[in-house]
Amino acid sequence: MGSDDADGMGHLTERQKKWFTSVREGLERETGKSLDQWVAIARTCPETKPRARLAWFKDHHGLGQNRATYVLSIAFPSERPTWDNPDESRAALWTDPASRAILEAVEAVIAEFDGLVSASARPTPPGRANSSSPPPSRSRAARRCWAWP
Amino acid sequence: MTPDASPRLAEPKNESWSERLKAKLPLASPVEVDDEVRALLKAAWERS
Repeated sequence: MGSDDADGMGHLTERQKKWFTSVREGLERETGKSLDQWVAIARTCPETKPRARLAWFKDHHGLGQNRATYVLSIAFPSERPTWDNPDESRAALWTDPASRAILEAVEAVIAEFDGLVSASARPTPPGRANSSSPPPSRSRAARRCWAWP
Repeated sequence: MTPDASPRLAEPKNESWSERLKAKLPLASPVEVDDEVRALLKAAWERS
């Protein structure tokens, strides 16, 4: 893989870079097609909405959620929020004021946890690692839940 | 963390953004983010 800027992962943490690299390697190893080939296939998708594109990938090509999401994020970069602009992504994901208030309440209680990485562009307190944002979700139901990996 | 850690935790069901969840906690308002939620988040973070 090339430099961080060349592969578009310059804004990610080392752990995130490792995860995306493993997804990419697994994609190529287990499907026999390169990422570029999958991106080309994605651009033939007749659907225009993200969920419909995911369903199309699964139905027509057997690609699962994580891999399809990864491929689609590269095939249609301007149509999906990215962490290159964290504030914009947060605004797009948390449009409901009531849900956003819950998010901010949770962020407040976890702000002191050591070693968490934030997707927010808020300044990090001196001497402390970044705080954390929750896993993003577009689902209204999921917005109102907290999940434990 | 698994649902038996607290009565407020529930089994996850087909969350579209993750296939590895063990529990979820529905929150209806910011005031529900109390000390117990903080403790659960802290425990989950320390185990992760």
